[in-house]
Amino acid sequence: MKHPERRICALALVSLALLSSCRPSSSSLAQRTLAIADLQPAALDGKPLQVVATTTLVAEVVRIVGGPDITLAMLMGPGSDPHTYEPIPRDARALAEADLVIQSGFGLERFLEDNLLLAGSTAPFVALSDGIEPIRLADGSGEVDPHVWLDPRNVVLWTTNAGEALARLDPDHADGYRRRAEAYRLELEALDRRVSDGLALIPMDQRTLVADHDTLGYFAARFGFTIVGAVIPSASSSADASARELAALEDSIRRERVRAVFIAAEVNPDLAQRVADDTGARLVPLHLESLTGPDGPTPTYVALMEYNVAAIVAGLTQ
Amino acid sequence: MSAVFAWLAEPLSYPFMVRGLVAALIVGVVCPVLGTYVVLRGMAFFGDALAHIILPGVVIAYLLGLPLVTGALVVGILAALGVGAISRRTDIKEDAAIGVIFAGAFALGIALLSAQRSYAVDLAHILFGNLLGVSEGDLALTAALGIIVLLTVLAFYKEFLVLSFDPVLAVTLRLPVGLLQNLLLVLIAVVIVVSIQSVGVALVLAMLVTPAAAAYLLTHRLPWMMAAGSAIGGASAIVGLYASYYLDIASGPAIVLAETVVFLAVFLARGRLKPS
Amino acid sequence: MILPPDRNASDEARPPERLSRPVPHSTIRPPDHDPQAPSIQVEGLSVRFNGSDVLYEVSFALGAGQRLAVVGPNGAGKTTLFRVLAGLLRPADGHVRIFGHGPGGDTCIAYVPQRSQLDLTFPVTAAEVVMMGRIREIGMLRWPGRADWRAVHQALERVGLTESAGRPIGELSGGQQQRVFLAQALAQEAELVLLDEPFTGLDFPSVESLFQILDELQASGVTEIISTHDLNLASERFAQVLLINRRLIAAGPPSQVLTQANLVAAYGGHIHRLPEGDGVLIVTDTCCEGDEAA
Repeated sequence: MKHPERRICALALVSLALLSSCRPSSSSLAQRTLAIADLQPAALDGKPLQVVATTTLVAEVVRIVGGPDITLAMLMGPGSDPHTYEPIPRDARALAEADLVIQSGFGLERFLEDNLLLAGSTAPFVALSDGIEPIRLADGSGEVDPHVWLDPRNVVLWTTNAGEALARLDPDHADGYRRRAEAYRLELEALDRRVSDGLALIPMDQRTLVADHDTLGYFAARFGFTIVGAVIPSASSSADASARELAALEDSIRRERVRAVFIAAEVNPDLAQRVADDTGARLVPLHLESLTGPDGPTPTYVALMEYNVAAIVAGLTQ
Repeated sequence: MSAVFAWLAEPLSYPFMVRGLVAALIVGVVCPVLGTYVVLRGMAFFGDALAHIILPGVVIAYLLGLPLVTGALVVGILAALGVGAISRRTDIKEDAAIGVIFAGAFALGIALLSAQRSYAVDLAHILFGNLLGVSEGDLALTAALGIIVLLTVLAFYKEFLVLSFDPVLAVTLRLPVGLLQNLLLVLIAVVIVVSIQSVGVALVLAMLVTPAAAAYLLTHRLPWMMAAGSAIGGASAIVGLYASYYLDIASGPAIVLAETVVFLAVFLARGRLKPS
Repeated sequence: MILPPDRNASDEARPPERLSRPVPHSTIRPPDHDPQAPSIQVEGLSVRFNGSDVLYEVSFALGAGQRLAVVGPNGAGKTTLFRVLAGLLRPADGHVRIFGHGPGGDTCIAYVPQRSQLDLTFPVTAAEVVMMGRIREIGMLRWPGRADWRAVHQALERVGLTESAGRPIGELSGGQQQRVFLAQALAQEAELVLLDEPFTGLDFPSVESLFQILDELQASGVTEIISTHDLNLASERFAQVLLINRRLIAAGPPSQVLTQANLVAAYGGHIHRLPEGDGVLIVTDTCCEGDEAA
């Protein structure tokens, strides 16, 4: 043939293009995630149900509902920021051996997409936020805010979903799962009432919130707060602030006389600290993204909400 | 006219913009002074390597809760002296030796950071700068270090000149060559550390080299080369910051782009000037 | 007056001295010379590089205010000798005394190396290059004063480059550049001037003007050691010649040194003998600067 080098080159380029396109498309995780109602019983071979939970908050709900009848592995550790979590090889192993993978949902696990899909897991994926009414971000981008757990009623729904998911996969222990789910639901409803009562100390005209990124949407909707703005107007803490957005936020803070900027303890407070210093507002850390370890201030979800409410009340009334 | 004034004044009504502007200005003015030596002596690779080697110092300082500048300074100075020593003493070619340390140190820094498992934002800030997050303390430190660097260059101007132009002469004139060379490397490390907050590790080389390279095309006198470089660097800092504000782009890269545009303009214009 | 190498001297009993590294100085002290000693005294100088001898047991002496030509084939070690005298190289063996001090001592030595090594696109003017020679006079943490600028302009005047004082060094011709570096040596007010192949590539008028400056210098008491591969120049313009090829071949006046026997010994196979009339025309391969191990 006339120009063998050219044909080889073309072949190489085409192969490269094909190979590089061999990756899951961005909607694959959504496609892979099943509705809980569609789950089928799993073949357990006498072993307890192997469940993998993505975040600490998901893991807590699943642990409580699953009780002694499951073996639970958690991907993210205490104090981690789900938006910037980097998986490690141990995670892939856990995923490969799982019977069920439970996510938080609403795009929180988007960054984990490739890892979740390529771990070679044959387990069904479900999301606890299945059935929750989504709140979209204020910037009109149409993106959904994933921080559903800051409204205790959503965690009630999580508990129901967890109970159903485990019961469908493991019908032998379904009674136990549903029983424990009911008990936890009662605890959460009591928490919800306590939170409402606690927040009553804040007058309606001072119910303004500024956060470090878009985290408090569900909290604000549930308890009657207004979100004035965010330091980084994005649902993910891995985004960065632009100068003009910071300027606009500072203007809003001054205009609305916001007294406190609430930031997630799991992210770097640097930029939020500058805004707080410049506007005279206080910086108040909240635990928003994950639970702490057993020695920390928020080892359980109940503790997390109580801590946050106390901090919000203190920040806005003093 | 007052519209232009309002347009210029608007960003300056926010303290974080003013702080960022002053920090960028200091960096833009001081870097090309050292950058002149880097350009004339072909040390651009060394400068880039030094910036990357500093990364683990920054990370360790962060992990220990110390100010990032401390970690960066300690590692930067050690790295400058170490690389200088290696390049004098080894069989391996200088750029290979530096390359080995460059890549290894950078990898160490990233590995340490990744062990935190939740730190993508700060890595972005270390790599590309975080001018919006400059605190008053940061500013004071930047100003102090900038002044120290400028005074040192002024004090040892003629010695650095001889060292750079004719190292053999420096020895025959009995100048403390080792000390002076190390001093110069340490000064470069200090300005790199100072610049990391403005433009980050990945772009600090541009702050050193680009304005000095443009200045080299403009003048054949060393003091004027430094002055022109500082002018270009300072002006680019201002333009870059305004561009980042009004165009919603990252400030560090905006400044570097401004400097690059100036360089290209000078480069293209020079082609039409009669060679002097 | 040159002393011929004297291998039976009682000095042989003196053990060869290891020289220390050149000592950096930041203050100027008036040189205190030993008036009895010859200005340059080299004994048993040996320099090794990568296991082979670049210089082996070279010995010679030179009085103050004298001019010595150093000649020899490429690779003979001429540049190496200069670098030892300037204090840039440590010899493996041997004994060097300049005005009674070691090369790292107080003496003001100006070393003008072969031109190829410098980056002449560096943005310095001729005047600034000359001023570099005065760096020790000026002292640390000080700027050049009026006396220094005067010395610089005087030096430039002596080499005839006053109009080019403000021009970048890269814009001057090769000959002019050579004169700038000579002016630098003048501004340094050195007592010993080492010039490595300064005549290379210069046309005849430039060589003449260079010698004019060297004559004036010598008249003011400066000792000059100059290497060249132009044997005619060596025999016509120098009172003392040092012929080396790693070892000392001969030292003394040109008529004694540049003999047929010595030249054959030094240049070896590079010699072509052509019978010509009454005498013999000797042609040596003296082209092209070789890579002398430095």
